[in-house]
Amino acid sequence: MESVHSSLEHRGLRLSLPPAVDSFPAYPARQTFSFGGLALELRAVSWDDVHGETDLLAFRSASVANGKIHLEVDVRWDDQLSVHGSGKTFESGAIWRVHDADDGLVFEFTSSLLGHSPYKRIQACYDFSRSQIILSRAASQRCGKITPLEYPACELLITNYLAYHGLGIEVHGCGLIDRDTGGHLFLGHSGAGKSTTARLWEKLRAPEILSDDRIILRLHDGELWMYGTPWHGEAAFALPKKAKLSKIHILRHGAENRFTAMPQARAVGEVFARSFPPFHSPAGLEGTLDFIKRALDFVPCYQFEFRPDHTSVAAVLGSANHD
Amino acid sequence: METNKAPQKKQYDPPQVTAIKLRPEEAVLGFCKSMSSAGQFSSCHHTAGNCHGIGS
Repeated sequence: MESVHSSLEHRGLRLSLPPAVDSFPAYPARQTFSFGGLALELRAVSWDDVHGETDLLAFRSASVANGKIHLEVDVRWDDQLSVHGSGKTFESGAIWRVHDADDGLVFEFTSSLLGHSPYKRIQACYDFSRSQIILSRAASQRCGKITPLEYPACELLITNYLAYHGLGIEVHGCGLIDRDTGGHLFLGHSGAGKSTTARLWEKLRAPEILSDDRIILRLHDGELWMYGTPWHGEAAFALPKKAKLSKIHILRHGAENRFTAMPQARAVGEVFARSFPPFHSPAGLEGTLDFIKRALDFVPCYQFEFRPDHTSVAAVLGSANHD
Repeated sequence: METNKAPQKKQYDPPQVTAIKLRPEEAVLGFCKSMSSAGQFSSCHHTAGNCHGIGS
């Protein structure tokens, strides 16, 4: 994979950013969201474009801490979007790909339902502080409503911002806050038991469940914090809250409940394998690995083989009380 | 008869290579659970890319 950012710097080129926000057309409709402690402002001409994100409603933010917007995202429509001509840097294998546009990155989204023409494009500056989302009217007329931040656009913006700035990662995990023992994080691939764990805890402890599938991790003053996200799993838990962590669990089904401490090098690999690194960006990959290493300097990581019943909850509570 | 035993040396553990699985369909955003088994959007009834079928 080509290093877009590094290669430009290596060639001594200055990274140019999209025009300042004030030079864009006026966007009277604005809505701010908060994801993992990052403020994202969505700006559009029509209120429909900023209020159509029904899955994100709970993550709207009335006020912004320190008044800082981390991600400024403008929305506009074009009649039809054409395929970007050159400079493809990364093919996701899913519905999007990345192009190097010299002055930033272009993400194109296509669907086999709509043919080759993209239904959405994101033009982002390299540090993801500013971006434009362009939606296709033709695609919308054929397939119905398209919203700017629908999956996976919002997660791409957030994970890329976190990685580029080395601020955190998004992981495949179930995160919950127990009233007595605080935050618990269980990482796992699909089928590892995240939603099962969420349901078990809900039934037995009624915790605040931040998500049963996607958690954002950040470091604040030498402490590891997890944030809930709107991008939930099968059990559909999603809360805009955060909690401090004292350890990380890697879920694995087992005949008995057992915790096994992981050496840090192994733990870095296991957490990385359950994260969403920006594979198109060597700088972002480096930021992701560096963040995981720093996080695991502060908290230990355990493999948690668990039985999918109440005993696993008791085991975690017991281990928490011994910390 | 010698009674004082020399302290045992700490056992040497050679470096090990551990393979950790990285699942592309889970490490890259944009896949939905049904897509991995049924092809892109063939079973996805959402409008365009808006698939929430990702879960554990």
